[in-house]
Amino acid sequence: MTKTIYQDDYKQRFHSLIQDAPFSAALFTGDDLTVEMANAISLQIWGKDKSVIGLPLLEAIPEIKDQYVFEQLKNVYLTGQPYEGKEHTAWLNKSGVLTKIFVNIVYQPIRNDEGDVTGVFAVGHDVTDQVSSRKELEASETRARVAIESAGLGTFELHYASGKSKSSARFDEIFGFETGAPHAEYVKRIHPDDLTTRNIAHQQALTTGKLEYQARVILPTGITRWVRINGSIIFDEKHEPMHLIGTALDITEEVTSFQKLRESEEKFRTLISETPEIAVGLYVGREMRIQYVNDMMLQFWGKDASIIGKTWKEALPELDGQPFFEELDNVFATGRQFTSKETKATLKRNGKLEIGYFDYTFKALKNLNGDIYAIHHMAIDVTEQVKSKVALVEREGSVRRLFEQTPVGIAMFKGESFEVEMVNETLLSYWGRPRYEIINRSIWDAMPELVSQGIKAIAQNVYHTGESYTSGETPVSLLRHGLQETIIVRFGFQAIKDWQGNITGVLAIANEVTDLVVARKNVEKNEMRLNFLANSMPQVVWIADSDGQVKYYNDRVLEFAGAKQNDDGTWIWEGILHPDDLERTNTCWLTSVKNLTPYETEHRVLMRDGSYRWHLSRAYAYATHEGTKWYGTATDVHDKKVLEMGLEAIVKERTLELQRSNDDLQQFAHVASHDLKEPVRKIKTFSYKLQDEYKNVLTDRGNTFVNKIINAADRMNAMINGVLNYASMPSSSNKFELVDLNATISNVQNDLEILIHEKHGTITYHALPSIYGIVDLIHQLFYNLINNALKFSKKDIPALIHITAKKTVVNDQQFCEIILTDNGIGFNQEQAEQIFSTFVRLNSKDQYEGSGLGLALCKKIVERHGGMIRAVSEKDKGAQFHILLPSP
Amino acid sequence: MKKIVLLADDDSDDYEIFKESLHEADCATELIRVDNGEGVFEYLSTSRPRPDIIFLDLNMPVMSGWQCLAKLKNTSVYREIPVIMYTTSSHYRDAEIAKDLNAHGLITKPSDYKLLTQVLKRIICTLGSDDLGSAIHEAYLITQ
Repeated sequence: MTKTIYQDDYKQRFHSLIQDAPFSAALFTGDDLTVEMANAISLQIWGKDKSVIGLPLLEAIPEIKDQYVFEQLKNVYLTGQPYEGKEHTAWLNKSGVLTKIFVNIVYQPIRNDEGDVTGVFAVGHDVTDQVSSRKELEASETRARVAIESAGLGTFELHYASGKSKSSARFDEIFGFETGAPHAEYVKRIHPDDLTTRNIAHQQALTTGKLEYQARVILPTGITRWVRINGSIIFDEKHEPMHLIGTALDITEEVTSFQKLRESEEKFRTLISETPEIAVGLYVGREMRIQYVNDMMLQFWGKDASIIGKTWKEALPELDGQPFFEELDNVFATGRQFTSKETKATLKRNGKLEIGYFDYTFKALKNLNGDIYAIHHMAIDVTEQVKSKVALVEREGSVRRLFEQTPVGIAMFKGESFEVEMVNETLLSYWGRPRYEIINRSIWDAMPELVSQGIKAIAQNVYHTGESYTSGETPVSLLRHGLQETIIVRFGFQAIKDWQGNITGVLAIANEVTDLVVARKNVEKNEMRLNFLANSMPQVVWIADSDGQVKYYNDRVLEFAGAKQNDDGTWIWEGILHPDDLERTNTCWLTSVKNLTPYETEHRVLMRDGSYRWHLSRAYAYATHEGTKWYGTATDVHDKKVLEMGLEAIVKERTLELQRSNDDLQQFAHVASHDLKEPVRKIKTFSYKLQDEYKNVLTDRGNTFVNKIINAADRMNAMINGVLNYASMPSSSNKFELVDLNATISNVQNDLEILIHEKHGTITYHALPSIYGIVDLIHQLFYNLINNALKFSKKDIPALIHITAKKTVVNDQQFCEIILTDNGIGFNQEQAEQIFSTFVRLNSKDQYEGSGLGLALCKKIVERHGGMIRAVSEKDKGAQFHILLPSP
Repeated sequence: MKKIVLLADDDSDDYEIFKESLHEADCATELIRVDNGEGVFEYLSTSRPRPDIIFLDLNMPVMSGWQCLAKLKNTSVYREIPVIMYTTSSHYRDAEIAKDLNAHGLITKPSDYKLLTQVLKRIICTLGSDDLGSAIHEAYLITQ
């Protein structure tokens, strides 16, 4: 009862003091830590409502299970030791979202009167915001990562919205990447058969929040690894997946050993027969661990079942030095089945070394991945058969064996008829006849084709004279297996004498060298063909050793001075190059020889006729079985080269001519600007004088003529100015620089002061940018545009010109668009293109003077700057000029 | 005191027009004409009165107007004499060159001799005064 009173008391105190406290406070009682009380902040932190009160903690906050904060709580309850901790992580399910928070906690045990712990009072303070300072978070994550990495786990993160992924080095390594790659690349490495598994797992993870699957990964090396992927998805408030965080573990060993086990079991059911004759064994791994052998095998080996589980070397040490270990290893390495017959094995049976003979096979067993994991061994004891055979052979005698085994053809002929007494297999194979057709017959009857080829005569001579005979490489035509064939043999005859010295027969020894000779002949033929080919080429062809020494020239070298032919037909060339090319050529060649880089140079070679001709020499190094060889050519490029050099000279000359003609043109422009204008001006001056001083003397008609002369001279002057400006434009300074348009307009304004005044003009502009251009031309451009605008202003309205500018991008290039708007007479939009053509006038000369070149010049200037100009207008509504000039 | 005006121009017509215009300007002036730049220095080397102003044509044989201008401005004793380039050219660049070479200004030979009369009158009247500069600039703009 005291307990209850105590708790009630506590409850009251709790309610009065803590219910509205600005921190979390809760009371857990009993072994299951029932939530006895929890204040508002607690519920808020837990993301739960009042309904959890009265529930055991793990029911109230199931996600807290296994979390540190819970473990500590439990600990406090069990030990009675208070606990205080800072910045502990807690994952809490807040309205369906697993949220990470950081809390500072104090757990205080609550005891009854007897001092037994009956509950825990927990005070918590949510410090997530403070702790979330990025660095801290990263540091703790790094620590976690290190822990994970050291466990061999690879980690990855996938951000769903952006599709971006991040992975640890170990994760990359598991997937066979050296550095990180886009998420899709990792997916590509997954075995096609496991992709469905992977996709389903990912699909499910979107609902469960947990990702778990196993899949094979195919590495770039072709090796297949098993990988287990675990992960969890973090959802946002709307339960949309935000992040996927997970790990990858290489579980190949696990999977394969499991597979091996299963495979081996399966294999055994099918492979192992109960036939008492056949011995069967299965050895796993490169070290040939004996996984299974049947009784027969144990009997063959003279061992008992204790050897199962040992390696071959441990179980059968006596086989060391015999071929079996190597054979097994070989089968395991290559996968090729090994079969052997009547093979001797020395085995230790019951403590004694015994010899046995066996027919056996070693067969490699492969797992699902196609990797070899074991060897299957089947053997039959053939000792008895072999023993009886060996006995037979031994009776035959060693001489005969030697005779048979010689890889040289040997035969013994008896008597003058050359009856075949003995012939070995080698010679029979040369002859292409079975033994029974030959043996005990006269060779000349058995093989009549030998007679006609003079061999009988030679053999009989040996028989009669006793002098041995040895042939060179002799082609012999034989009927082999029914086919007429020619083989090349070296053969010898030797007389056989009895103990009295009488010749009783002839010993023949033959060695077929057909392949050898054919090969040699082919080489010779090839060389000859190559030589023909080389000599038929229109170039000098040469071959040099790796040290640069030339060892071969084709016949073309004859055309070079200093070429000599040796007795054997080979050429040597004590070459002479033009002195100006010698050093360059040597450097080039030695550099190539040193670095094994292709050699290519042009030089003059002294020819037989004493002239130097340009040659293009080229050589490439090739690795041959005799070491590096240089294969080179020298091609006569003299005519081409001379032509090229001629062309160069011509181009140079033409350029100079063009320069001169340009200079002339400028000279002309200069002369024209001053001298052409001079007389025009004088015509005007004297016309004015005539008008002034003789006005009264002249009739009205005469005065009209004078006026016309003045007008015509005016126009001529304007024309000359226009043409000059237009013609001299390209030759003006080419210097592109920053041009401040404000300064330019200001200068133009000064120049046109009088005209502006006359037209009551106003030019408005504000903070124009600088452009990149040629100062003079830009001045000219705006001079002409403003001049035009003033000239074509309406008669009785003050001329208003407004200039604005803005930046614009055309074809990725920065431009400045300048817009010049006037309130003049304008023109029809259809004519907007025309106005930029030379000598086009839209208005009568009488009303508006002008050369018809002003805007043409403007266009030319703008185009020179790589810009564009266009006009927008409507008759009587003013005009707008848009000019694009390069922005700096 | 008569103002001495020195004109270097190889063109007799232009000389005639200049002479008449100066006469009509009705200022007390004495006009001396030489054929080219060298003539300017020949005149200056005599003991005759120093000119109050020099007008230089650009295109002249032997020594051009530019050469003459440069030489005048590089000779300390002549540096202070006002020089006006008097040319057919109406290129704004020439006006800049003239300024760069320390000429007092540039006047384009006008086709209207009455305009020339006006211009000369104003220039001669302002000789020696502070208004000379602005008079020449006006002349440049008018004759253009």
